[in-house]
Amino acid sequence: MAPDRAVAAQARPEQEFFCFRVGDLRLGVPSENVLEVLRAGLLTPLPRTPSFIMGVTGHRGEVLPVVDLLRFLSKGEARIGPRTRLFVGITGSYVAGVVADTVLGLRRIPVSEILPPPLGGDAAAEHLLGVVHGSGNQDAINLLNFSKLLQTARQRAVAR
Amino acid sequence: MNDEHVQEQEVVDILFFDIGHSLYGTDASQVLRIDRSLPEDITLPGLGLPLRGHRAIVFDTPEGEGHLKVDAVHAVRSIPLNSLRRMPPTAGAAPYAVGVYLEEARAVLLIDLVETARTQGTQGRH
Amino acid sequence: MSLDTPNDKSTSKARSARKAPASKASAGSKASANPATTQAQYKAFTDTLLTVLSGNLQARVPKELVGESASEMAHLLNQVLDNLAASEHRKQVSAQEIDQALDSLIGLVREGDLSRWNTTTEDPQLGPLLEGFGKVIETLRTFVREINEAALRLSSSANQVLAASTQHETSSTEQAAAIHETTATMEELKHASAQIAENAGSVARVAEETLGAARAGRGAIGEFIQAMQQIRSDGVAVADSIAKLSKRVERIGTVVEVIDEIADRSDLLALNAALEGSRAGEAGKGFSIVAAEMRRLAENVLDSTKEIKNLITEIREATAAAAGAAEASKAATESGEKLGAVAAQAVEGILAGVQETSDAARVINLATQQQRTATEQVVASMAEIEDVTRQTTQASKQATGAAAELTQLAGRLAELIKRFKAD
Repeated sequence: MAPDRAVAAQARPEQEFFCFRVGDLRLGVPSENVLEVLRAGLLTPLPRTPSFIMGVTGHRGEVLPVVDLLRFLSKGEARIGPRTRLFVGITGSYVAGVVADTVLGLRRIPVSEILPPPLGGDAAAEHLLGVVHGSGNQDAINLLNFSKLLQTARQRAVAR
Repeated sequence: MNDEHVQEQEVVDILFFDIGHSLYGTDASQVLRIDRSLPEDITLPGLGLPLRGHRAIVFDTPEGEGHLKVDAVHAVRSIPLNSLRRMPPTAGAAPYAVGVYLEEARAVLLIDLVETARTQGTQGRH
Repeated sequence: MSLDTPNDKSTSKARSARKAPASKASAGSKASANPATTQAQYKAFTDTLLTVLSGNLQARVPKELVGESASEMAHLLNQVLDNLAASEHRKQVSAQEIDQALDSLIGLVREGDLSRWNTTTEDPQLGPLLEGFGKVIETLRTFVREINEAALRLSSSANQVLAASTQHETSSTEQAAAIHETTATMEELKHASAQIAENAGSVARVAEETLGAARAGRGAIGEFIQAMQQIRSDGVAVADSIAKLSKRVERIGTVVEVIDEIADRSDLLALNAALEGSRAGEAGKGFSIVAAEMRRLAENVLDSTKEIKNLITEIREATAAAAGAAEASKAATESGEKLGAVAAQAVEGILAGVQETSDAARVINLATQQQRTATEQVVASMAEIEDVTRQTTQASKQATGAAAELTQLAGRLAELIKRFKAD
C-alpha cells in the first residue's frame, strides 16, 4: 500500500526504510514493518530457545520476544548497553523486538537505487531485498526482507 | 466501577522462587510442599544451575511426586490473571516455560512443574 | 786447838789403856828380878821412844825383847803410842778439812765459784763453823742465781727495747718519707685542681655560647613550625575548595545525565513520531520533517553532553590529582611539623643539657677552688706533721742509742754475774 502511495505522490517511486546499525552491519527494514522504537530494557532469558532469541521483555502489556540479528545472520553477537535500541517489528500476526545499536533514521530510498543482493553471497543474502549505496562503500545499507526473516525465525524456533 | 473491577479481577496464586540468579514463578496449586532437596532432584540446564540448591519444590505428577531443586523460595502472591501472558510462539521456548508474568517491562517466566518432570524424564531418566 | 783435840783423844784412850799397864806392871816386877836382862829391856824401851821422838809414830816396843817382867810395861807403852798415833792422825785430818774449807773460800773469793762449797767435817768443834759458812754461801748462791736471772731478763728486755726502738726509728723514717711524698702529691693535686678549675671555666664559657646558639635554633624551629602550620591550614583550605569543586562537578554530572536522558527520550519520541508520520502518508510528511529535526537537535544535545562528560571526567581527574597533591602536601607539612617538633624537643634537650653542663662546670670550678684551699691547708698541715715526725725520728734515734747502751750494759752485767757460779 505504502509504495503505491509513494508512487502516487511522487513521479519517482520511493520506498521508506527504517535504517539502523547493529555490530558492523548497516541494515534497513521497510518502515511499514516497524511499529515503534524503544530502549532495550529488562530482558528475561528463555530456556531452550534458539540462540538468536535473546529472551523476552514486556511491552505495552504484551510479551515481546527479542531477536539478535547478528546471531540470526551469523555475523556475531549483539550487546545490550544503556543506549541500545529495540525496534518493534511486525509482519502479519508476528511481533518481535529487534536489537539495534544505533538508529540511523527513516530514509526514503528511490527504488531505482536499490541494487539486487550480490550473487553468491552468504546465507544472509536470502533475507535481503537489495543493497543501497551511499556516498562511500562504508555507507552501504543492506535492505532486509523483514517479513521473510521473521517467518524464517519463527519456523526455526518452532522446528525445534 | 470499583465493583466491576473486583469482579473482573480474577487472580491466581503464584509461588515465586530462585534458581541461580533467575526469578521464576509457578502455579502455587501445583505445589504440594517445600522440602529439603536431595541429590537426585530435578535440575534443568535451561533454567540455570542452582547455586546451593538446598530446597526442593514438591509437586504431584501422574507418575508420583516430583522434586525441583531450587535455591530460595519466596512468598506466594495473588496475581491478577490479566497480568499473565502465554509464551509467544515466535520464541519457541521449552514446553515447561508456559508463560510470563508481566510487571511493567519485567517479565517473570512461569514454569509448569509437571512439564519439568516430563522434560527431566526425557532428558535423563530414560 | 787442833793440837788439843788429839790430846784429848789420846787421854781418853790412855784411860782405858792405863788399866792394862797396871796388870803389865805386875808382870814387869817379876822380870826385874834378873838384872842382866833388865838392861836390854831398858834399851828396847829407849830405842822405841827415841824412834817415836824422831817422828815415827809407828814404832813399837818389841815384846820379845823385854821379857816377861817388862812386857806389861811394853804393852802399855805400845798402847800409848797407838793412841798418840791415832790422835796425830785425827789432827792431820782436821787440818786437811780446814785446808779444804779455806781452799773453797779462796776459790769463792778468787773465782766467784760458789758451787764447790760442799765441805764437811766430823770435827765437832769445826762443824758449827763450817755450817755457818755453808749457810752464808747458800744465801750468796741464792743472790747470785736471782741476779743472774734478773740480768738475763734485763738483757732480753733491753734487747726488746732496742728492737722496738729501732723499729720505731725505721717506721718513723718511713713515715717521714711517706709524709714527704704525700706533701709532694698534694702539691701536684693543687696544680691539677687549678688546671681542672681552668678547664671547667672554659667549659662554662663554651656552654654559655652553645646556650645562645640553641636558643636561636629554638626560635628558628618555632618559626618553621608556624610556617608549616600555615601551609597546612592553606592546604586544608585548598582541599576544601577541591572537595567543593568536586561536588559541583558531580552535580553538573547529574544535570548532564538528566539532559542526556531528556535528549535520549526526545530522540526516541522523534523517531516514533517520524514512524507515525510515515504511516500518516502525505499528511504526516511535515510532521516527519519536524521529527527528523527534533532528532538532529537531540543528537546535537547528546554530542554536547558527551563533550561535557569528557570535560567532567578531565576535571574529575584533575581534582583527584589536586586532592592527592593536597593530601600529599598535608602529609608533608604534618611530617614537617612532626620533624619540627622533634627538632624543637631535641633543641630543648640540648638547652637542658647545656644548662646542666654550664651549671656543672660552675660547680666544678667552685669545688676545685675549695679543694685548692683545702689542699693548701693539707700541705701546711703536712709540713707541720713533717716537722713533728722529724723530731720524733730524732727522739727515736736517741732512744735507740740509749737502748743500745742499755743493752750493752745489760750484757756486761750478765757477763759479770756469769763469773759467780751458783750451781
